[in-house]
Amino acid sequence: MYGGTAAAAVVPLFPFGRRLTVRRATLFLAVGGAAAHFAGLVAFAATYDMLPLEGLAPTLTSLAFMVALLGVGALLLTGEPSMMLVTLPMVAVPLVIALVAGLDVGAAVTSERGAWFVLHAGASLLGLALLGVAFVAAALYLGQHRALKQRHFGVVFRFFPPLEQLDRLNFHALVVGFPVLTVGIALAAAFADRSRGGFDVTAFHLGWGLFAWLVLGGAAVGRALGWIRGRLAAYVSVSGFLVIATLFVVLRAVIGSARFL
Amino acid sequence: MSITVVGINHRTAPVELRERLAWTDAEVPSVVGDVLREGGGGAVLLSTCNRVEFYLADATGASLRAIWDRASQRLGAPAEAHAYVKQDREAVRHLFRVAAGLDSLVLGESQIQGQVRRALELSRPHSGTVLDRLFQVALRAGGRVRSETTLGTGAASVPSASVDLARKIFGNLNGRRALVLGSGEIAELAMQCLAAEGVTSAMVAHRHLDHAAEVARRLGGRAVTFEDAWPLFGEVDIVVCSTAAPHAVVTRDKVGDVIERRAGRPLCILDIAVPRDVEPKVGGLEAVFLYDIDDLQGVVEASLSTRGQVVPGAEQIVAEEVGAYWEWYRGRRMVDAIRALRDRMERVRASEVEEIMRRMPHLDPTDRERIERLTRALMNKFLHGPTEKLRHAAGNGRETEIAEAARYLFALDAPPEGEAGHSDGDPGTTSDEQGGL
Repeated sequence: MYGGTAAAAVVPLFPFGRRLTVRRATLFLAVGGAAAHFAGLVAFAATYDMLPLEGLAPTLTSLAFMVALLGVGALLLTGEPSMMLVTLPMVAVPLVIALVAGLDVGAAVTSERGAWFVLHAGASLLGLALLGVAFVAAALYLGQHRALKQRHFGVVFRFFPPLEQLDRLNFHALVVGFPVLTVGIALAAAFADRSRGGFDVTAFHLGWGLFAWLVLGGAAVGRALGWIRGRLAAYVSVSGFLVIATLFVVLRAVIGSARFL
Repeated sequence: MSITVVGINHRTAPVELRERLAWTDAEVPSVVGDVLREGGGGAVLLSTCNRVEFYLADATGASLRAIWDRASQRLGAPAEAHAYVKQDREAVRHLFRVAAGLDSLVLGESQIQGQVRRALELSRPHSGTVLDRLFQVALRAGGRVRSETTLGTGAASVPSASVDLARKIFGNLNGRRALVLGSGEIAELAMQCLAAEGVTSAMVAHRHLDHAAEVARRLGGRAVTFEDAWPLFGEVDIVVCSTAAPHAVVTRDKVGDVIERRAGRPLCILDIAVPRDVEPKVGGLEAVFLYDIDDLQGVVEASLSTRGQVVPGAEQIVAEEVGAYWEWYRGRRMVDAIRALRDRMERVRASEVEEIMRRMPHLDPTDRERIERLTRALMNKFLHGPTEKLRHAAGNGRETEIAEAARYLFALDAPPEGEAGHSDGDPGTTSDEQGGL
């Protein structure tokens, strides 16, 4: 269904598409895909008697679900199927990695976690997903900005959302995403302090998490205080997201653990 | 029963002829009434600057002649040479294409939708059920084409291109602020377009400040001098330049510092003056989107070219709506035939019963009631078969010929008078036999 959503989102780029039908189809398929995705996560939880927040593959799948859900929200907000053009690769890539890695949780850490862990992992993943949405809005912003500046009145001009709308979406994703990620990290830190050793933190886990928090924090504070906006904010969001994602992939390749972090 | 359209448009007649033939809104009801007096089941006149079309339900030779006479009289020459006539399904398809903007001079223009609606309103007392529904469905088809395809999207003129560009930067323009440099006709038009989008404007004038103040007041803005205008480049969202100056009046030296203090807030500058009012270097400033008249023309051309590519999708919607309307119309033709048949038979029955009652005054009320019931039951039994057959014919594609056959066989189009008189001498009727009851 995500594939169908991508296909529907591409249709408006060609002039033969029926606008209303395409919008409805994109929304229907995206909601359907997210619903199926959610059903899959629920089935996972029922099968393994644990939430899909531990282990590389389940966590990536949950992250992809949150990005998809936020993408559907952005689609509803803007009414532009083009929102899904950048969102879907961000859903597809973690899903493909998860499927390749395998959803078996045998190697995952399954020590007693409790509610704090669910909140920590949930908030952290939601924060990262919002960073992803900020990236989507920023990428589309740069495309539309380029079309407007260079006076290319083609498909990007016609089908990408207005600049200010994308800028606002980027702003809200960063400004909401940062506190959410902060809560996620604070929960982990508080629990680690209380449990004295119960919190299994690797250098990768801590380093990458804090790095993502700093990048997202820098962008969010810059935006909230009005230091960066428009094209600069878009560049910061895109480069920040790409650096975080690349670092994650590289470190994971080096360490090769079955855990997400 | 039929639907006919008789008309001329921008393809069949030059503007000199079209403007002579165009009827004003005030004239439409009387013209339509005059045509309908010559016969027919309804008429609607669609008169715009690009087309004059009469839509007729059940047109008669006399009503068509009345149209040709009036049109030729206005033209001062035979109108037939420039006109087209379409009938039934072709006429329906024609109107639906017109309402969708597929037959317009500027493909996909949206004004025609309002003109079709207006034509129906002006002709309403004479439109009749068939044309009333025809126009309603045509408006629905036009609405669907605009919402389901991109035919109506994109700018088709320089003012709409300006608004399109501004929307692509800011989204909704309501509440935005603009500065209009110049106080001429084009500047006023630009200010009107912006006001229609909810933009508050200030008009900048050099010499004619009084005129600018009057225009600005009318459009909910204010007038300022050029000296006061430069700081406003740091505040407004849109600047429209349309002065008659022979050189650039907006230079980087004048507005560069002010614009840089905007901290990345976008500024859309639409320079529609020739020669240009804005130095091209201004467009190089961060977050400034500068467009001149050629760029706006480029937006229009790109949009019109795209519109041409979505025509097959729009034609598909028109075909669907034509099919839906034709289905209703076919059914209606049969319903009319059935109703006419039953009315005709009821009139015959009633007159025969009346004749019997007159001949047998001794019958008491109970017997009279029995005769009434008997004749009504007989009529219903006799008509049940033909009625059912006619109903089924509405769905088999042969409804026109079958309805016409029914009308011929049962003389449904004959005047009702004399039915009782005919029956007296008609060996096929039962009045004499019943007289022996």
